[in-house]
Amino acid sequence: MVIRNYSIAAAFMGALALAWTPANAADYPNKSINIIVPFNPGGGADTSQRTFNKFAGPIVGQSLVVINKPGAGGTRGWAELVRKKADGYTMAIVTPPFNVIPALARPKQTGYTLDQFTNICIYAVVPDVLLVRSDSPWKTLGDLVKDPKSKTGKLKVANTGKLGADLMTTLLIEDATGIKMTKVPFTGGSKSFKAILSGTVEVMVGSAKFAAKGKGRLRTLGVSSAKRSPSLKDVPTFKEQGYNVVSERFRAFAGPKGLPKNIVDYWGNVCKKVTENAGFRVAMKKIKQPPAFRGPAEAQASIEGMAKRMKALVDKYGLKK
Amino acid sequence: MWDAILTAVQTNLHYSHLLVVLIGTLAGTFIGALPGLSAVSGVALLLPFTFTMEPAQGLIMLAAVYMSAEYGGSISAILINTPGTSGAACTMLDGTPLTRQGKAQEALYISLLSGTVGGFIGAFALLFFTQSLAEISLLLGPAEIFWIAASGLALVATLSGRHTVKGLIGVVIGIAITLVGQDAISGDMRYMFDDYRLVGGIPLIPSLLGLFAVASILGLLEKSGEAVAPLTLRKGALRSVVCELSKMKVLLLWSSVLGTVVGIIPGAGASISAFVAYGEAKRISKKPEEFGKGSYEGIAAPEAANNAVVGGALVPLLALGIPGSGSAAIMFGALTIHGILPGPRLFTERADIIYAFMVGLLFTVIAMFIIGLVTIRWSSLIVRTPRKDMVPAVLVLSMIGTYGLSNNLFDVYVLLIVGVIAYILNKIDVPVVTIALGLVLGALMEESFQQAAIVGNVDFGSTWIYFANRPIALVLMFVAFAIVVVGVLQILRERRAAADEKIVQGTMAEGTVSLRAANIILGTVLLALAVYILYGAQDFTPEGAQFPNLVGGSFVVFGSILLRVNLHPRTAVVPAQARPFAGVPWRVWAVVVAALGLFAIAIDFVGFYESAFIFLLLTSWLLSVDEKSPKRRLIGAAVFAAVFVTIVYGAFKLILKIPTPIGLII
Repeated sequence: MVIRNYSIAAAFMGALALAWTPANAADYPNKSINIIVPFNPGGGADTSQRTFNKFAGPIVGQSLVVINKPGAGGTRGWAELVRKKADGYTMAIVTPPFNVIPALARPKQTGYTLDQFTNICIYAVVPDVLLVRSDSPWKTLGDLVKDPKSKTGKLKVANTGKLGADLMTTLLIEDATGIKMTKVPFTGGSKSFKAILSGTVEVMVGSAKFAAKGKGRLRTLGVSSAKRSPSLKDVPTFKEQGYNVVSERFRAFAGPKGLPKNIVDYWGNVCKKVTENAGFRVAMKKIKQPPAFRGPAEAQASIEGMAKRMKALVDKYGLKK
Repeated sequence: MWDAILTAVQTNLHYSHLLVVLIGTLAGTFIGALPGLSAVSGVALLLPFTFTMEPAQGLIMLAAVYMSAEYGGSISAILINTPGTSGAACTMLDGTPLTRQGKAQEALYISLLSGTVGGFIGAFALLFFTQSLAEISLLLGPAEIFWIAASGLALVATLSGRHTVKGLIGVVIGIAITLVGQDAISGDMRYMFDDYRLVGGIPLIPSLLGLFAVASILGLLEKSGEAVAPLTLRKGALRSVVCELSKMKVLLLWSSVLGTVVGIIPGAGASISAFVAYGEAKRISKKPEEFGKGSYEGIAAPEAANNAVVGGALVPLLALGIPGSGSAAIMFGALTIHGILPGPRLFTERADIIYAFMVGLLFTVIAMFIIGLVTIRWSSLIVRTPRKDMVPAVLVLSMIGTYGLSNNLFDVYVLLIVGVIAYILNKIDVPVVTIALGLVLGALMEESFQQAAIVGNVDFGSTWIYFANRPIALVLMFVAFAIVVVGVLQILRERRAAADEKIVQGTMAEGTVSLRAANIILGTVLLALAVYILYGAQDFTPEGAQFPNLVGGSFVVFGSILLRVNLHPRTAVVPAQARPFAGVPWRVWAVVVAALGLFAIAIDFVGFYESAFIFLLLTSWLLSVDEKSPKRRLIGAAVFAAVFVTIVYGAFKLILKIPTPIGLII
């Protein structure tokens, strides 16, 4: 009797101990996982991550809770991420180069450094495009480069923010082609888009989705991917036209620094399965985010490579403060 | 086109469409009325529900939320002196005085009816003139946007009443707040002490809630009496309101047109349209002196405009793929999820969906009208809520508005600090609404000015020559100046009328700070701030330093005027006698503010709803001093806290699914 009581007590204690054990790496995941999206609901990053979650959820078997922490171009949410425990229960979408540039150009005021992330995978890659108006005299990138006006700074290019991804692409284009434009920053891609439609600026550099949006009114002179983009088959890459400009934006999944290896592998595997899912690929194409897959090692290398190229630009143009 | 419209009407009459319109409108009205949850948050919250719907249905539901939230914002603006949405901040100018006069119901009817008219006109514009309006939107570049914002700012001349300098100080304080953080155009990091949380600036919604909700609740603490405001329920209130409104046909039409036009400008939404329409209404009114004292026109104009914005904001979205507002941006997300790409081809390729959507917008206006009509009878009773319950309830709702959506504790600190400062400034005659004006318009003005400067320099060699070469900008510039002139003339008239009577605010109670002393302190603080702002601006790029220099310079001027007036023996007589802080129950006040701070800090430890419960219990208990039996006092507070937390939990966690940190119990 006594023994039985003891055993019940022991079992009870055991159960209690089990319930109280903090996230044990072996049975990961055993509760819902918070996923920080440092942008507003309904925006590009938010829609991408929710699409990812929709297909990852059934594989993980736990609920993936999106927590929107908008502000400061995403840096506020990422600063929160790197301050969380690296137990795999707080993860985030990162969108290089948007998390990379602030860390390089404004290190003092950015709440994190680049080595504070564990990058797990890249699940979509979006190139940039260079757009001009359909009624402009420039039919090809060559026309634009040959136009003497393009060397004087008389042409204006719309950029998103002062230190956005498209500014970096613009600088790369200027470097490779020798043209020189006045940069007019706008607070958001849509506003840049409106500025070129209305003729406030002559050129726009922005995410590839604007090529599709501007069809009929705008002409796309080049895409910044290494190979032609499947969604823009008739647009030549900068490389094809003889200019070495490769610049892409990633949708990536990451956790705080020091994430245990088994959790990294776990998510690497989930990413692989998600990106192989035909439904995911269709859904991502619908929202103009071409799906891709780069696993943990490759994602880390891609993002580090990007950071290196960005740093060179930041140093060259004195963008650091 | 008429065929397409007829088919669309039939589609919309299907019961499943009517049902989503109804659900969307109910949700939107409710979300709009809640402080802090604006149309944008409403549309974002309901977005996930539309993923599984037919595209047209999902879009109509979001449109219903958007439309009715812009109306719902006025309910709390009128009843509890807290704008439910930023678009309703302007409605308080005349809504609050009307409520104080016991005419809350009339004010609500005015808001509903003019919102309906505005909503219809905006929706009609969308249906029939999308293409031409989209072309108009392309004529509005940085120069025009700057002057539209400036004509909104010109309103300050009207809003400051007798205290012109204090009103100007308010506006500049508002603009100063928008300077903090990374400047999007120049990339300068301004006044942020290297704190990463300030990179994105001081968040707008918590600031507005601090300005209005917290400050007015703190003000409520000093009043005696049980209910918040008297309420007279008159029979025939609706009929008399309809009669009044029928005399304002021109005003309603003009405000709706303004709302539609402001709506098509990306970045300028409901709040800007409301202020612009209010200024215009006062300019063309036959009774401008009634504005700010409970004028029906003062509610009709902004409310017609902020509902007309909805149709306007959807014009560039559908025609060009450019969302005209934050809510429209989320609807853009909804479109792309369904594989629909907005743009000119949409009208031929997906005509069925697009016409169903545009016609559906008219249906949402009708639904808004009906639901509004039904709920006004009940919602106006809110002003009869006992003070002891109203204070904690509004504060908890503001906390959800700030914390529930951003999940940032930092935003809660902003709410508290701005609230306390706004309360004190309000006491010494700085109109809070002028601060809001600067907050809402500052960023847009600076952004468009910097862009105009860059473009103007390349194209013409100067910003001003660029302005002069844009005819629409010139017209808008004259409108802005006209609003200033009308406002100044009226102030002079009123001043002449009031010159004979001696104005002394507050009571003559001894022992508290006099207005003169407070003015001297404010003047000194402004001068100190000016030094800090101007010194900091030395490090910025020329573009990034323009507005900081302007703000610093204005602080120097206004601070000096304040000091000059209050230090001079002749002009300082009146303020030396006024005691603005007499009768402030500092002890209760401090306890409530401290409790609110503790509430915020406790969220991370015990959970949001748990800490809300404790806060409600404590505050309600503290304020029910009239209850003599200690047992009944405690039970009363506990019951109120439990009921309110349950309602809030059901609404936010279960229905709207707003994630909050997991607490001890829930």
